[in-house]
Parts: sequence; C-alpha cells; structure tokens
Amino acid sequence: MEADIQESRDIEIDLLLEAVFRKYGHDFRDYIRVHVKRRIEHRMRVSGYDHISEMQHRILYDRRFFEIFLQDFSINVTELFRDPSFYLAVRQEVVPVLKTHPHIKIWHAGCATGEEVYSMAILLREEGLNDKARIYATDYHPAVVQQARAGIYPIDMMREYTSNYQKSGGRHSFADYYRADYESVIFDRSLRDGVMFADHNLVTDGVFGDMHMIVCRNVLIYFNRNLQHRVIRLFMDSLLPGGFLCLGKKESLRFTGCDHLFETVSDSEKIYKKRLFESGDRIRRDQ
Amino acid sequence: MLKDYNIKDKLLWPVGLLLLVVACFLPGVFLIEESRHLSHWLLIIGVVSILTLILVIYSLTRHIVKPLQNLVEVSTSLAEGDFERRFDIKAGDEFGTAADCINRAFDIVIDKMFWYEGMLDAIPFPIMVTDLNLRWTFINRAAEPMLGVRRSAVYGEHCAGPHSDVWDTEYSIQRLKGGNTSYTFHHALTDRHYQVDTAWLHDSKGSKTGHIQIIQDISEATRLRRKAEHRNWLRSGEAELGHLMRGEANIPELSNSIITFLCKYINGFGGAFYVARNGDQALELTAAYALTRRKGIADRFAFGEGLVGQAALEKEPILVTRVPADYIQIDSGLGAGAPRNIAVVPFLFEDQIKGVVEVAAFHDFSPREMEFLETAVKHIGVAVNTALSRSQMKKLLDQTRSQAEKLRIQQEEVRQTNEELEAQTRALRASESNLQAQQEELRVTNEELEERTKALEKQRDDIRRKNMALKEAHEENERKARDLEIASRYKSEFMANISHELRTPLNSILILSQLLSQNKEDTLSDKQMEFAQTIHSSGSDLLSLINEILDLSKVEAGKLEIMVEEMSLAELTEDIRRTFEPMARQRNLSFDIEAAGQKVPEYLQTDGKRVWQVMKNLLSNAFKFTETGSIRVDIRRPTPDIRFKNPDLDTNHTLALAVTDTGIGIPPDKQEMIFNAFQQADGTTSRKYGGTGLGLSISKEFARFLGGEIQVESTLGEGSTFTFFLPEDPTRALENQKADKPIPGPIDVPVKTSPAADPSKESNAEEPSFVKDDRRTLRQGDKTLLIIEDDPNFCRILLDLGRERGFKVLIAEDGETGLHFADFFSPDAVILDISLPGIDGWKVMARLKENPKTRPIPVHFVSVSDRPLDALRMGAVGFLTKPVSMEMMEEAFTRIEQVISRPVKRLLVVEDDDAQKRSIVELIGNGDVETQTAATGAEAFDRLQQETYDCVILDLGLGDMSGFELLSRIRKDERISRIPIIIYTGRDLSREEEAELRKFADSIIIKGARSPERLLDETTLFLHRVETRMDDESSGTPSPPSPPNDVLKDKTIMIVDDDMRNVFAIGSVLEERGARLLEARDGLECLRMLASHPDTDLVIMDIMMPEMDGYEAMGRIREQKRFARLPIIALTAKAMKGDKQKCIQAGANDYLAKPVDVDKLISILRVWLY
Repeated sequence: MEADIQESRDIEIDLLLEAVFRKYGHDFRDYIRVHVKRRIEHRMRVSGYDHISEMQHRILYDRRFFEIFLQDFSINVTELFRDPSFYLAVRQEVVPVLKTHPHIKIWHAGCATGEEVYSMAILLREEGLNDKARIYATDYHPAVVQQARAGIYPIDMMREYTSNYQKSGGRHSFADYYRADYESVIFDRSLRDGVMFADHNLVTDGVFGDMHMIVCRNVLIYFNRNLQHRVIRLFMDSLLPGGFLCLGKKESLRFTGCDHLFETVSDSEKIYKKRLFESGDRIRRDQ
Repeated sequence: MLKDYNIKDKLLWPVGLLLLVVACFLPGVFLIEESRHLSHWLLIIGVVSILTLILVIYSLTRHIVKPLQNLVEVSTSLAEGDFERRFDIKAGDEFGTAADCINRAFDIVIDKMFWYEGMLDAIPFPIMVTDLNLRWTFINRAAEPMLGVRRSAVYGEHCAGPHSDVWDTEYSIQRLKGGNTSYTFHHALTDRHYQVDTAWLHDSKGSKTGHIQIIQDISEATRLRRKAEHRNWLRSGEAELGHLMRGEANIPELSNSIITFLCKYINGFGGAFYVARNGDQALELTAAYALTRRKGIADRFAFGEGLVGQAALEKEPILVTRVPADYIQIDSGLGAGAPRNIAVVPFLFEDQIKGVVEVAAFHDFSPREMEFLETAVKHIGVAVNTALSRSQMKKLLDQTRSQAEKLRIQQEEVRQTNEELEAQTRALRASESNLQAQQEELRVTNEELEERTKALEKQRDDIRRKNMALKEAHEENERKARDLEIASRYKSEFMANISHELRTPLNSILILSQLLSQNKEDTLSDKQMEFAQTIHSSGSDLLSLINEILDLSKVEAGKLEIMVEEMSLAELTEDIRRTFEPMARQRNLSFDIEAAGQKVPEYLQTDGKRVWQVMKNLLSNAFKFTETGSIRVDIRRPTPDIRFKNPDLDTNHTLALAVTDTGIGIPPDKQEMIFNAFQQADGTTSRKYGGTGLGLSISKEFARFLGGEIQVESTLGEGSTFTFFLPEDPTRALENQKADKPIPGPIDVPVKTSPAADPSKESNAEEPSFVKDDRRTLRQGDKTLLIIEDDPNFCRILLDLGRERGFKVLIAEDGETGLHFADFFSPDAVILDISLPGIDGWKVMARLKENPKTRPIPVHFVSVSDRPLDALRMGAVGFLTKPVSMEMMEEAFTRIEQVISRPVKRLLVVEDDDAQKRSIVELIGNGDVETQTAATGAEAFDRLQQETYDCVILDLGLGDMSGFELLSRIRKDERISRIPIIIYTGRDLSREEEAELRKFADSIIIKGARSPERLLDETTLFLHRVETRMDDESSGTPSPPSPPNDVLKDKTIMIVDDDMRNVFAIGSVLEERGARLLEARDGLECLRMLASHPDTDLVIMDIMMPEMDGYEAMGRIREQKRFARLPIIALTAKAMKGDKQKCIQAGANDYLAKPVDVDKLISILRVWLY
C-alpha cells in the first residue's frame, strides 16, 4: 500500500516537472529527486495542498504561484567568503597564474544573492587584478540576480563575514568595503564595476566563451549524475585550456566522467585546472 | 436743424420774388399790344376802363387776389418744405380769418411734423425710409454719417446712389419682400455687429408707400452674449469632466474617459494621456484616443524626453502647429489623415507634475479650446492625484488586509503550536512524575549496585593482579619467542654463510679430485685412482648436502628467490629420463614416465630449476627406498576429488607430478614427520639408506614457494606415492609468499660475511628480472620501450600494453639497470617509476638527461608520488599518478607514441635580456625541443626566414624594434605567418593592446611568479598543436573557397562583443568571405561607430556586455529612423523559452545561440544581407 502511494507520488512529481518544463522552460527534471521532492512537499505544506496534481493545476494556470514555486527551488544559502580556506587557496594557487594573463574573465555560475561574487571582487581588488578582471555572475532566478546586483545584506551576519574575510587572507579592514545602515550593509558600488549580473540557466542555456576561471560552488549537489556531467561539460567548453574550475567543498569531479579532462590544483578546496592536452583517443571514446 | 431751415428760407425768397414780378408785368405787356390795334378812343376809353379796371383789379387784387396769391405762395412754400412761412393776410375779412385759422392749423401741423422729425432724429441709430421706387424719402440724423452726405442731398435719390458701405438697402428690402423683417450681420471691416429691421410704410388709406429700415449696432450685445456662451461652454465642459472623473480610482479607466472626453469636446482626432511616475521622473502612457499604435513609439517618456517629457519638465503647455504629415496618423474605416496641430498640456497638483495630456486635431486650436484644456487640466490634476492616492491607499489597505490575514494565520499557527506545546508540557509533567518514581527505584537499585560494585572492585583488583602476572608471563614468552626467532635466524644465516664458506674449499677439492682421478700423468695406481674417485664422490655428496642445507636455510631465512619463467614440460621429463634411467637400469628397477596427453599443457609459468629440484628429490628418495619393483612418474591433471591444503589451488589450473615406488613404504603415523628437517621415518634407516633427510623438507618448502604442495600416500611394505601439485601460474603464490616473508629484525650480532656471500648482492647479481622481457628477440629497427619499475605485476601489465602497441619491451627492476639498459639499448621511450630500490626515479631521470646519448629519449613517469610539475620541468613527456586506470595507461601510451612519432621541435626565443633568455631555454629545453635564441627583432626575423620553427616565444621589449612591429612583419610574410607565437612580457597590457596583440599572437603571458609554469604549458601545447594543424591541412583544402558572388562580399558588418576572441573568430570567418568588418566592444561604442558608419549593412550583437548591453543598444539603434531597417543578429548564451522573443522584441531581426556555429551564422547572414 505504502509502495503504491509512493509510486503514484513519483509519477506526480515526474508529471509536474515535465509540465513546468514545457510551460515555463525551467528544467528541474535532472535535479536530484530527494531535493525536488523536499521542495515540492514544502510548497504543498505551506500552500495547503494534499496532492501534487492539485498544485500542478495552479502552477500551470497561475504564473505568480509558479514564481513562488520557482523561488522554492532556489536555495540561496551563501555567505561572504564562504569556506575561507577556499579563498586562501585561490589567492595562493590561482591568482598567481591569473596574473600571467593580460586580462581575465571569471564566470560565477549560480551566484545566488551574490555574496560570493562580492567576496571574489574584494579578493581580486586586493590582488590588484580588479582592473584586469571581469566577473560574469549568473543565476537562473532573475529576482535573485536582482538582489545580487543590489549588494545589500543584513547587518547581523557581518561579524561572521569579517572573521571569514580575515581567515581567507584578507589584507585590509573588511569595513573598507561596505557602509553600514541600521540593519543592513551595502557594499562599495565600485566593487560592481567589473561585475556583470545576468540570468542564465545552467540546465538549458549554452556556453560562456573563453573563461579563465569558473566558480560554481554548491550548485552541482542539486543535480543528478547525468546533469552534473552535462554541466561540467559546459564548463569544460567555456574554459580556456589551463583555466580553473572551482567547485563546492562537497562536490567533486570524480564520477562525473570528466575527471580526466582536469588536473587537480587543490583536492581539499576542489580547485581544478583544465588540461592543456586532451588525448584525442580518449575523447573519441567518450563520444 | 434750425440752420437748415434758414438755408431753405434764403432759397425760397428769390423764387417768390420772381413769381411776383412775373405776375405784375405780364398784364402790362398785354395792354401795350392791344392799344396799337384799336383806336385811340378806344385807347382812351380803354385807358380809362383800363385804369378803372386797374383800379378794380387793384382793389380786387388788393382784397382778393393778393390774399389768394399769398395763399398760393405760402401753400407752395409749405409744399416745398418751407414750414416757416404763414399766410400773410392782414385783412379783417374772411380771408384774414381763414388765413389766421389756416395759419394756426399749419402751426399745429408743422409743430407735429417737427415733433415727429425731432423724435426720429433723436433716435441714435440710423433710420431710413425709401419709397416704393427705392428712392430715399427720409433718413434720420443718425443715418447721415452712414451715407456720408447731408440728408437733404439724398432725398429722392435711388438707394443705390448714396448708400452705406456697411449694409445693403436693396438686400434688406429684398428680404422684407420675402417676409423677413429682421436680420443681423457682422461687418468684418469694422468688426461690428448690426441688426437691421425693415417694415412697410403705408399711407392713410392703407396702401404701401415705402419702406423703413432701422439699423442697430448690436456689437456690444453680441459680445456680451458670446462671452456668456463661452463661459457656459467652459463651465458645462468642466462640469461634464468633473462628473466624469468623480469617484474613478482606476487610473487607466480614468485616463481613458478623460482623453475620450477631451478629444470629443474640443474636436480632437487623436489623444494620449500620460501619468507621471514621479518616483522615477517619467511619464507613462495610460490611455489613448483614436491613436494607431506605431511600432517604436514609446509609451514611456522620461522628464525632458520628447515633447511630452519637455512639457512635464517645464510644467507649461506646448502647442505644435503644422505637424509634419508623417508625424502621426489617424485612421478610420474610410481613410486616414494626419492632424496638423498638437497640444501637449501638463497637469499638476500642488505644483507637482501629475501627467500630460496630448491632443491632436485637424483644425487649429481656438483660444477657447486652449483655454478649456488649460482649465480642464487643473481638474484633471486633482482627479489623477486623488485617483493615485486612492489606488495607493487601496494597495496599502489590501496589503494591510493581507498582512492581517497572514497574521491571523500565523496566530492560528502559533495557537496550534501553543496547544501542542501545552500538550507536550502536560505529557512532560506526567513523564516527570514517572521519572520521579523511576528515580526512586533507581536510587534503590543504585545502592544495591554500589554494594555489588564494591564486590566487583575487589574481584577486579584480583584480576588485575593476575593479569599483571599473565602479562609478565606473556612478555617473558614473547621475549623467548623473539630470542628463539633470532636464534633461528642466526642459525639459518649461519648455515647459509657457513655453506658458502664450505663450498669454496669444496670446490677446489672436487676439481682437484676429479683431475686426480683422470690420472692424466699416469702416476697413480688403480688403488689411488679409486681413492681419488671416492674423494670426488664423497665431495659431491658433501656438496649436495651443503646445497641442501643452504637451500633449507635460505627457505627458513626467507631468502629463497623464485624466478618465474616459461618451463617446458617435455624438457622436464627429458631431464628426468636422462638422469634416472641409467640408475634404474643399474638397480634393475623398471622406470616409466607418463605425461597424460592433451590435458597437460606444454609449458608452465614457474621456476623450472626448483621444480627440477623437487622432482629430483622425490625420485632420489624413491630409488633410495626401493629394492625391487618399479618406479614411475605420472604427469597429469589432479583428480577432481583431490583436497588441497593450499586453498589457492584448483584442479583446473594445477598439474600433478606423481612419483610412485614399490619401496618400503611409510607408516601412517610417520607420514607427516618425514617432511620435517633432519628426520626420517625410521631413525635407524639413515644408516641403512643414507641421506640427510633434508630432501623432503626442502621439496616441501619449494613446492610451497611455487604455490603448490606435496602429498603422500603410502602403505607400509608396498610402496609410496609422492604427488607434487604445481600451479600453472604461480603469481598468487608469489604474492602470498611475499606477505609471509618474515620481516628481518635487527641483528645486533655482527656476522662475518665475505663480500661474495652477501645475500642481497647475490640475489641482484645472480638473478635476472623475473618477468621475461624481449631483450633476446630484439632486432634492428624495432620500436623499443624501457620500463624501469620494481613491481613485477605492474611490469607485466606494462609489458603487455607495450607489446600490444608494437613495442619491444625491456624491463629493468632498478635504476642502475635501467640506466645501463637505456645507454645500451637506446630505447625509443622510457616509462619510469620514482620509488625504486637503489637510486630513485628522480636521479635516474637526472642521469638520463645528463647523458647526451639518452637525453632525447622521452620519459613518462608513473608513480605513487604526486609531483607532476617537477617531472615536466625535468623534461618528462607525461606523468601518471598511481594507482592508474587502464584508460590512463592507454592515454600515457598514446602520449608516448605521439612524442616518438614526431620529430624534434624547433623553438625560437626572442628576448634581449641574456639572463631571461637562458632561463627560458633552461625551462623549455628538453630532448625533443631544439631551442634557438635571437636577441633583436631583426635577428629573429632573419632566422625565421632562413629556418623553420614550430613556435616562437617573443618578448615585447626588444632593442631594435617593438614586439608589435616584429609581429606584424611576421604575419605579413606569407611563408612564416602561421607560426604560433607566444608573447612573454613583463608589461601590463591595456584591453586595446591585448586586442591588437590577439590578432597576431596565439597566447599572451605576463611575467610573474607562476608564469614559467604557464610558459612551459603553452609552449608544449603549441608544439603539440603544430602537428594537428598540419594534419588538418594535409587532409583537405584549408577552407572552402568562397563563391565568387557571395552576398557577404564587400558588405560592412559590425560585430559588437566584449569578448575579443569571439570578435576575432567571427571576424576572420567573415573577412574570408570578403566582408568589411567594424568592431565594437559594447553598446555605447556600437552606437558611436554606427553614427560614423551609417552605411553599415548588418550588426552582429552580443547580448551580455558591460556598459550598455545588447538589448539596450538594439533599442537605441531602432530609435533612430535611419537604422529602422538595419538587420541586427543577436548572439546570446541563453536558450530559455522567451529569450529569443526578448531579443526580437528588443529590436533584433534574428537570433543565434552561443557557441556560434559558423555555418549557421553564414546562412543567417545570407538571409539578412540578400
């Protein structure tokens, strides 16, 4: 009986995801099932639906409700200088190499509300790379990108962020970069000079050209193996030879079927470098 | 008036006088005539009668005629208008009386007449009278100035004669005849309004005698009336508008009804209504009237933008007349027309701009209409403001309501939670009391436990004591075991050493005794020769005994080396036959060897030497204990029911070598014992049968080392069968054996050993590599691969892989051997492990690169160590980190093959600083790259022209010319233009410089901490790439020739993209097809360039760009009329539903997804350029 209900629910989820894809173009079909299920159940609980199919009707006919539903899928847990050791590793291992390029392009895919984008902008400024670098910050949710562009964050987290900043090898006073209000801080506008915010969907959209570095942290964990493979392939195609790919702490290139295309710069911080040589033999076999 | 009369009097006077003279003279003349015809008498009588008559006449005249005359005169005067004159008859007769009466009557009549005339003259507007023949009969005084002459002059004149320019009398009378007695008109010249009233005049009999016109100037009245009308129009408009706007809070509906009303009220034919969003200083179109929405017309204006924005900014109306014909169009079902006038009127509230009304009309706006608009907007301002604030309020209210609802839900939730909490609290309280009870119980239990604990503690102490004792005993045991082990090892080592020591002298004994026994000099007696032979055979026995001891000690000391190679079973049986057949014949025993047919393989992977030793031992034993009967050897597969002691054995891959004899047999209780060293079944037999008793134990150990085992079946007195089970493949056994190997502990007792007997030396020197390689089958021209690796299993894998790929493979187990082999065989490639016995891989690599002979050999590392960069720096072609997958291995081999198959690459380093130059050469220089240097641009250019290079590293700062100059010279030279060039510079480059360099250079590296690494990488990359590029070229024509009349030819195409590589890539494709290129890096630059190149045929526009993105840029382009039809192709990485639409909406004609597919791009361009 239990299994039967479970099966019906799975079918409902499949149908809902298919419907969302066909109606709105957002493709969650290759997200990991547990996550998808959790988000849908959350929305059902909050909006008071007993069955997914009932909610599907509303999602299809009420765009505003869909926006809310979409918001549910966007998990924007992020912080400034999240995992300070990562930024330290970037300073030590990646920046010196980036400095050997006349100009660099960095793609921050899945930037959420932008905290890590500002972190990177601050780091680049301290490393004297701000004039040479351009950051493309993208997320699939336009409202979130808007938030990222604004660069305004609640003040209560700033202590933790400051500590993160210091641990990440920060060289100045963190307060140099923001202006505090009663309950929020706003980051120095000039940090945004080299940053372009845009909405871009990793699942459906295409490559960004010739990046020297791609930062995509804690995004792949929501994707299934198949989609992970596709996205890594997308990164692969967007990177210049020798370009860097930075993933989240809990993510890895292992098992994505692409690990042979990259060499490891830092295993603990999940920094990889696209190989200069791709064995033609190997590639053919992949295809 | 009085004066007029005086003038008339003067005129009348002479007339009267003349009449009087005529009246007097006429009779006199008449009398003179008559006197001539009659006689004088007659004359006299006549004269008298005449005189009488005269008297009579005179008297008559005096009394009758005169008054009559006076009567006539006066009457005539009167008739002629001289109303002053009166009958002048002073006679006291009837005449006098009548004259008086008449005079009085005249006076009355004349008074009346003057009274009327005076009255008419007193009327201030013209009154004119004509007779039926349209002749003037009277005009009053006010009419005189209208006609411009005295009235006396016009009486009797036709009205077409003296007339007024203002109105037309004939027309008036015409109208009168038609029955219209009154009309008004406007005299434009004087801008006066007149009213003309006409009426018929009748005489006393009632017949029509003429017409009278009364003309009134009604200008003032008209003005007042008009003014009132105007006011009414405005008021009613306002009232209607006010009514219309009342209570409407919905802005679009409000806007709509306002603009509709306004247009209708002032006859507008089109209108637009904008409401200000003061927050962002912009106006938004909220309603339109009869407007055809034209593409590209904004429904949004910023303040100051366009007329609408300007009006808002100035807060003043703007009136536009003579609008161009194509400015705006009003369509109806019947046709279309362009209004000529446009009024743009802002409306305010409290001096704040609230919106703008725009009305278009075909007619010129009258002041009244403008006034109405201006008045109306005041009310509109108020109404819009009210509506805005009302909708704002409504929104707030809704928000409050929804918040209240949310709050209610939250409260509900809180309440629920509270209830749950309460329930939980209650449950907690219940469990608390439970807990208390349990605690009580626990306390009791605790006390009990405490007691028990005490007892236990006591026991524990006892146990601890005992444990201590045990531990001590155990330690004692261990110590003893260790001692024993060491003692055993001492023994074994001693044995091993002493055996060697023994062998050396024995060697001489044997050789010498043999020499003696040959008795070449014939100096020995037969007896002596026999002695010598005995010495030799005893020596031989001793040697075999020593060898056995040695083997056993080696086995026990764990130093037995097994060399696995191919062993031929046929050779083994042949050896057995050759050795033991003579012995059998000698002893009269039958001896058979049988190898059981097909099931037995021809070759085995095993250590043949040890197998032979085992068989020899088993056979020797058999011969030893067999007096009569037979001995046979069976080689076959073991029977399936056999039970092995070694679990790794299985019947399918094992060979059974059985030796069966008909000897004395072994009792069952002794069958185990016989395999122990120095023991025989019967302690006494030794004397009878001789031998050390070591044979079987050594055989057992050998068998174990080869992965097999020996089993025995025997019946006392009937014979025995010893079966040697031998696995076909000893690999697993070897692994286990390694694991079993006792770890050599520290030996603190110095053992005196001679160098020759050094066991480690011995194993290295004596035993060749245990994996059989191809060194024996090596021929001239073979492709050889040297593997320096100490792990045999991995070696075997590498060997197989190497052979698969057509290599002859050499294997060296350690670095030294590897170096020798490399020097001796000059292999084509080397696979090198880092952790090797003796010198490690790094040193091997260093020595390989030091030796000019081995320097060019490509070396690929495979190691557990993780320092690929160091390896590459040393010149390795690749690095694999263990553990490796099969794929990685194949990749490595592919890489090796690539390196081998390509010739030495030539690299040119152009750098004027010597130190830099050296460091680059050192960095790059390894076997397969030949590096040459040039210090100046000229030198570099010369070298490039004279020799061929595969890659150039170029510093931008050179002594004689700039790097840019050299670059462009190289790229202009047909022959050398395709060389990959890497820019290696310490300069920071601007984006422009980079873009410029990118056109010529393949890679740009800025010097810094990590730049050598990149330089190495990129150089390797380009040296590698050359090959593939050449392959591409040879495989086909470089690029399809463009068709002669390609539409792209001579077209000007602008590429707008911030990614210079992209620009370059697309640009080169287009240039190949003859297009002219313009490049812009963002929207602003694009607009600037378009302004200076308005002849651009097509724009390729990236969407995501800094400064101004593609959407905005396209919008701005489309705003300009001249670019309305300019084809724009948008490029974007986005592929979501609606993204394409967004591009098209922004003004793109078509859309291409990134990465750009060249074929697709070209076909799209063809479509849009055709």
